[in-house]
Amino acid sequence: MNLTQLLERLHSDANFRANVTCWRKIPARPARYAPFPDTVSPALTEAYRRRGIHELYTHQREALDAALAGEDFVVVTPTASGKTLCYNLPVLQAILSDENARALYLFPTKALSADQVSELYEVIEESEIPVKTYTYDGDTPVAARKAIRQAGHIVVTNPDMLHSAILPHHTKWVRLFENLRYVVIDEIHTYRGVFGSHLANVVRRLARLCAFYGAHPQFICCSATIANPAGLAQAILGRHVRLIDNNGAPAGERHFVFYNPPVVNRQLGIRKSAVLEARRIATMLIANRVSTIVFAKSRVIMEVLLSYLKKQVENRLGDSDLVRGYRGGYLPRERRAIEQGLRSGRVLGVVSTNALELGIDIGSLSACVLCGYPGTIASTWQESGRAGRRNDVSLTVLVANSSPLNQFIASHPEYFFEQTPENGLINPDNLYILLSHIQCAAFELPFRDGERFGDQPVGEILGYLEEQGTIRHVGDAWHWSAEEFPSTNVSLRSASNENFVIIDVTEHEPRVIGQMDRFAAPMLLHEEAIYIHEGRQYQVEKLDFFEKKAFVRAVDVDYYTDANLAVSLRVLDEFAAQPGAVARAWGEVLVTSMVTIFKKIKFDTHENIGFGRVNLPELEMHTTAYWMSWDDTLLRLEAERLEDGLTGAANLLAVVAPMYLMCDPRDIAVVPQIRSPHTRRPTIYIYDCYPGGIGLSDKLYELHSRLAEQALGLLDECPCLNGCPSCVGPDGADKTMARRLLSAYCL
Amino acid sequence: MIGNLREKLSILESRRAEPQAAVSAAPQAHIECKRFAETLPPGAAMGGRAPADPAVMTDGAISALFRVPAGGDYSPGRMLFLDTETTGLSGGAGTVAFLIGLGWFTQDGGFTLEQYFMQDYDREADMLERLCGRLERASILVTFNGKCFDAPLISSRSIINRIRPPLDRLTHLDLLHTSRRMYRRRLASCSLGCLEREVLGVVRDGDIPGSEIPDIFFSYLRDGDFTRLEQVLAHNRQDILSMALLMDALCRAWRDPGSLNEQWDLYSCGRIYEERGDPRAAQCYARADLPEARASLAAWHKRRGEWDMALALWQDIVHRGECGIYAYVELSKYYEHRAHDPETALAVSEKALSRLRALGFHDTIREEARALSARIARLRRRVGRPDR
Repeated sequence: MNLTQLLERLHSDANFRANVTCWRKIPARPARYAPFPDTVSPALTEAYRRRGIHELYTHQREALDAALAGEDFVVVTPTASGKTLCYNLPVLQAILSDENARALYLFPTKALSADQVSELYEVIEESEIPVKTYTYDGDTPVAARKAIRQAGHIVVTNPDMLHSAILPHHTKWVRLFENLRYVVIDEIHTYRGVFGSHLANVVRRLARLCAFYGAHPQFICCSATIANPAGLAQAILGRHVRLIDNNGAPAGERHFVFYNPPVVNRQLGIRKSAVLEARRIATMLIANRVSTIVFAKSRVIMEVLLSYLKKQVENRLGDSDLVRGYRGGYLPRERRAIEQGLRSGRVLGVVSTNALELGIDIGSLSACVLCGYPGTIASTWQESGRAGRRNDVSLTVLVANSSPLNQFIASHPEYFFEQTPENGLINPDNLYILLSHIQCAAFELPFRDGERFGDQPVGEILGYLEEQGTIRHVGDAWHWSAEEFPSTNVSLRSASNENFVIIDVTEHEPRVIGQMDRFAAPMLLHEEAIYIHEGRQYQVEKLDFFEKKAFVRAVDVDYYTDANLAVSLRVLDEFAAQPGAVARAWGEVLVTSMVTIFKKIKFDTHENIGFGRVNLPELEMHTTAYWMSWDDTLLRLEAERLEDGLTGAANLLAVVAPMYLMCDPRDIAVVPQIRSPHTRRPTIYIYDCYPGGIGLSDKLYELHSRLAEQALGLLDECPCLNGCPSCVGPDGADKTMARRLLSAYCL
Repeated sequence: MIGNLREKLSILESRRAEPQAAVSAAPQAHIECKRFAETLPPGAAMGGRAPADPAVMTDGAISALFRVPAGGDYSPGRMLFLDTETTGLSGGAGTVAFLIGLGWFTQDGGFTLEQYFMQDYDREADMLERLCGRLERASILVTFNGKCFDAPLISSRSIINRIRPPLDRLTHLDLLHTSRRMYRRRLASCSLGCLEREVLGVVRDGDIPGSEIPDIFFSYLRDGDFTRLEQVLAHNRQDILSMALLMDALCRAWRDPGSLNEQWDLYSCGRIYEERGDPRAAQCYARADLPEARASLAAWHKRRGEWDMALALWQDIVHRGECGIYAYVELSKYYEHRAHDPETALAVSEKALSRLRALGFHDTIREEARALSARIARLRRRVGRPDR
């Protein structure tokens, strides 16, 4: 059965329909074309023709025209609409007309860089034009680096490498900087919040060096759908950016189905497991040879689902390798092979975490099963966009799990379809971030008196740094005057890039089968954990926490493990406080997270069949927090309503705070405590998710009542009856109580 | 501590709104760096056992020691010795050379030392321009680890000051590379300090550790006290002198290996000769009483078809029980292919294998054993004894 026939059958299947809360059909969209302009070199048009591209889509033509007119622009179009051509074509054209011309490509991850280079290579090989493209990242052999610095026309890298390896050594990259024509920033929507604020400052440093070398590169950005792509691009680049969103790529008809698993226990209101329902739906699709991608929210669920699907597909189609897994932590070679299999059609199904949310090219699939709501509207559209061929019908099934947010989305599909996707917000002038990058910039090139950094005057900051002794003002310039290499102390991302390696000791010769980031390792690689890799089970025998190695042995058991992470927050110091019936404070806190126990869960039934203890050190983070507390004897609240009100107020603050801080919701954490050990009152903590703090909670302390007013406004404007994700949250939070708490704060 | 920083930052935050001072339009005065110079007369002490003698630095020695094309003019009069003191060792655009030390031989065999010191960052351009002037007049640059450190640093700082130093025009001789070739087999380290102690006989009195140098400069910038910088100047001065002494020692060794007292230096010298096919290699090997030297000498004779000499050496090595199974394998090859005596070849190979087994089983040995077993199997087939 093909997908169209399957859809017809599902549509008339009463059992299936009983659980469908929404079935939205998005009509097909025809292609809109524009010819290659005559200004493009025949060698290039010919190369693209040989790849089957005879005409451009309207948005590609618009991008090319903008590039040729010297404009900076951001292209926003869905997955698989040919956005890479929007930058490759003008860049290749520029190099063809001037063989000294250079371009710099920035991708958020190494995996993406590798993918882009292989695609570029293909076009370059087709056209037989002598363009040298190199990836420059941590994996680049030292011997190759010199050649890349001298001869690479297109240097493909990531913001971290640009920040720590290229800009501080710019004098080795004279050829690149003197001739830099284009800077391409792909996946710009990933640069939100603190990460984006860092990138904006890296771009300021880049622009400063380009000006020194007399180059004025154009910027080309690409973004997935967010509410404000042009706004985000302008904030990152610090200049006007044209928005190109006139998508000319065709799309087949799309079906978007919200599926809420049936209630199996009426008394307790327990629904059937989303994982098992996702398994059923994905099996049906793959067994009918409909190419399908399944997204799971966590690595454990993803691997459990993969094990299930492999077994089902083995039974039905006789080859478990028709379904593959894909997530961070697989080795690069393994990932390349899986991507290749997907593109060539050898692989029918893939189960992934959000590693595939980024634009890795795997071709397009016909169906997408989301096991659980991805959390934001933008990422739901991005994951769903993985299914959707240009001419054929496609299907996305969102299988809701039992969390309040999922249940809300399942029962309020209009919320999903009517709400605009999330904003990408940054604050490049965050003083902490600015201060770090001004040091890096001074190391790279002395500041002249009166010089600005982006649009920021920097005299005061340089004066401060001179007092600190790392900068010296002499003549008309500010010189870096310290032994340190400032960029090594500045990490653009919150997560450290330290990895644990996973070593299989089943065979005589141990071999590395995967890797895991430091934060997830205690959860997934504690001793006795069942670590699943591409559907194969291993048991962790030993976790060497200090050497960052986990030794695992292949096993065949009928359960998987799931660990509990206990997070606690303790106040270490109060920097400022305003006491009162409603009080606020700002200070240093210690956030510790520790894995204490794990559960053994039986496959298929998901019964809990035992547990074990985990003995691992705590992960500690010193950061800064802002907190507000209430004197509940004054408020005279009953305990239960107080809890609901506090939860509601916390959710409101979590929605409102990022708008004021111009940060990403994940940059902060909001923790309500009914009775905080520090204040001995009901308290809501908001802390910076960055070691040492990054100035977000300081700002909240200053904002204080404005923040509460805004939260209150949001609460009153929200048309929902009993709470929704945009206000107090879907978790039975109490709107009235939340209002009382926040109003007390506004007095 | 975080709180303290935050307080300062919040003051900054409030001040940031204030207007900036206007860009300074005052014309720049030409700001000069400081120059120190002295000339040592011929034969003056340079800190080592004996002064450096430019007469030993012949074109042939330089070309062989530094792997530069033979037939070039490498006369010592064209050499400029250079060493910098910097604000850090990590490199990168913001690392600055604040002191550039230079040295060259004078016409009469004396030695001139010149140091340019930048008293502050605004003197850097002047210092680099003066360096350019010196570089213009030389054609050979001599450094110790300058290919990796000093030269890229100078070129980087020049780019930032928009000066183009003629570094690419000069032949660059890096003494570190050559010292490693000559001394690494004997010495634990080829740092300049170690070479001074073990080769040159230089004794530094009250010298400052290199790691303290950046801080001394930074303190000078803050308080203007030159006292400790005197030590940095002295340190840099001795670095330059030691480079001249090292050049002298290397050239002397190459010209007259007979003067070498160390077996390993003799052997290393032989290797340097051998690279150029110089027959003096064989003399060095023959005089060095080392297993490696005997093996190298045997290989030298083998390559020249002097089989009797090679054979005697291999047998000697076997007799002494040196060099693992190297000589056995060579003998076996010799008996099989030269003497056409597969029986003896097999016997030697079998001895080699049992010797190898006695040595134990780590990876390289396993690899050798595999190759040896293959050889033995082949030889057995040849002599008509496929298995025992």
